[in-house]
Amino acid sequence: MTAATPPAPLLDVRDLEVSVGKTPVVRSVSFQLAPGERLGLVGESGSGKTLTALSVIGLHRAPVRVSGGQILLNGTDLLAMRRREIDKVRGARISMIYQDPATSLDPLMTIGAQITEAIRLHEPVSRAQARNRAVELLGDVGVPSPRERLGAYPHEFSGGMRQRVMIAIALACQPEVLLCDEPTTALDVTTQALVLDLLDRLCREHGVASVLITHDLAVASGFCDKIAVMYAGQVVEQAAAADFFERPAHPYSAALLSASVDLAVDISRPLPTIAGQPPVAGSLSAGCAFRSRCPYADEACAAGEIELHSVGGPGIGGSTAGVAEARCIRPLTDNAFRGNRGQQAARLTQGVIDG
Amino acid sequence: MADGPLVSVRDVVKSFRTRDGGQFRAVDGVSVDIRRGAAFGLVGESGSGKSTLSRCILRLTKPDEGSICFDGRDMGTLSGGQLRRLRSQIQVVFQDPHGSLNRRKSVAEIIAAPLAAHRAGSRSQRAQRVAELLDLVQLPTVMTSRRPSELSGGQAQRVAIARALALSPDFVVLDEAVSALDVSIRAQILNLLRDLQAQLGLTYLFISHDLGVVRYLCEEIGVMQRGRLVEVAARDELFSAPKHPYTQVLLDAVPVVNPRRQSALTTPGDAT
Repeated sequence: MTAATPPAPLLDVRDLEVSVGKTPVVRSVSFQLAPGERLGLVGESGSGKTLTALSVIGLHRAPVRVSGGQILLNGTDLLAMRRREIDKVRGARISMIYQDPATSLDPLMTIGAQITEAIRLHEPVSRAQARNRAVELLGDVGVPSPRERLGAYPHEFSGGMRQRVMIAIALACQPEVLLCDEPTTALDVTTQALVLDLLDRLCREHGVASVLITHDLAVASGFCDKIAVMYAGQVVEQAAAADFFERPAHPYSAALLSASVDLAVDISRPLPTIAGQPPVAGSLSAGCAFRSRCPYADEACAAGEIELHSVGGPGIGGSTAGVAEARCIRPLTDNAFRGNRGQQAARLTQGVIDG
Repeated sequence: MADGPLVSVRDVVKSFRTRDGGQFRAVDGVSVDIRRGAAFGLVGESGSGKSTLSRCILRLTKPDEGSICFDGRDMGTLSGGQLRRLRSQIQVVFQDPHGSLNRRKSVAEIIAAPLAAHRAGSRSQRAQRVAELLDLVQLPTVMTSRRPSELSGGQAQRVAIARALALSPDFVVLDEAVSALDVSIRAQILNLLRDLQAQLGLTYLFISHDLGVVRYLCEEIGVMQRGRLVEVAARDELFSAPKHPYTQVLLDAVPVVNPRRQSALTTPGDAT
């Protein structure tokens, strides 16, 4: 990709607010997705990642409601659509795969029936045509002898194969956007690698834009073009993946990165951790939501609402994913801190080790 | 006996009957020693037999063949009373912190339950011990009256660890004990487990599918595949020069947070 004019966003989420009853639990979340682009929506449980995705596809259920903002798909606001119109978008132009394929597939229906149902719901094709498409799709996602497997039930598949079937259903109508909610969290590590490779190939071949929701930064690192970190219902940092992993701007992002355990982690000393607990939705006061756990916080961090604003210069490596943004008045990328990164890292580590 | 391994597993086989009348060998001839004071990691994918092996060691199920010795004594030959006394030395922490705590009991009751079951101490001694244990797992004393539903995932797992330590065991089985926790909480619990091991001289059997976590906590590691232990090696050897092809497959599948992080680690950034 070259850094010319960025393509018009395919999906443009603007100031999305989602509430449970009267309590906002997702607050002013904005992100854009260009055709074929991949966004990693990362954060810990309760940060609002899944609610954001469910709202985009309109699958949230009472008492959860979208209380503000816009979700534009090719310029059309999904939130302003009638139910019937939404039904035409969901599963056809935007589809979703979930963490647990065992519960999201119908145990009483054959795999073939579930795939053809998805196709025939959206496209005027005959049963036979739909069956042929299903065979093709199953072959495409790597299910061996797909024609014979059409008559099989979900329980006859392993976890990894079920997730492949889920992906086949999600891609059945050639969506433009695929939302993946922890798609590999329930899988073994070798199966996870295979499923991620599969998603990678299919998204590339079909030009599908995707949102990968995960708590696992390593999974996002290998798959995504850009990263949005959620904390307490807000996006606290958004950046090109290459920049993000090299130089996180928000102290929460940095802490999350250093608490992630992979095979490169330094085992000679305690893992850096984040002290305390994330705030409970609705109990938030003005100012930075992370400030009570942040080693850099001072009075200014409590003063008022902090906007997501650009931090540092343009992305390194000429990335097209735009300038890094953080919801922080003391971003780690700030010039005032730069040149002092060793001390800064030490401070972060020291400050956040749990006593 | 103090020199021998704390746990010695010899040729253990455990089969289950399958629905079509066949036999499935979940554990298929495993022999392994766990050194006293060591953290032994057991890795493998789901269905590889790691949990069945741990259930045999915990004597929650009886092996079909083979023997398991704890502190030099063959558990298969012990009487009910002897086994019961031995059980106080062997404890377990499971994956789901909330699922393994009784929702109707307070934290104090949960932690004191093993003491009551083994009739250890008077009521006031038990209360004293609960306070010590909370301190050990770094939970404030106000937690004693809380119910599990009022605890976060990390707090609940700390309570489960406190309960496991109540009878001052020598050996703790940690079966995917950090797998259900969020990234930042997982790091806290891993640090705690390391501190406790050093402080109390515990021996761990740490079962996990997460190789990064196993590498952090365990100095010796066994790899299971389809009921067999295909490789046992010291940490450094296993991660730098795995001998079994399956170990290599597992290592290759582990995603990397930042490809450049490895080099960043070599620059000194002493956090003192």
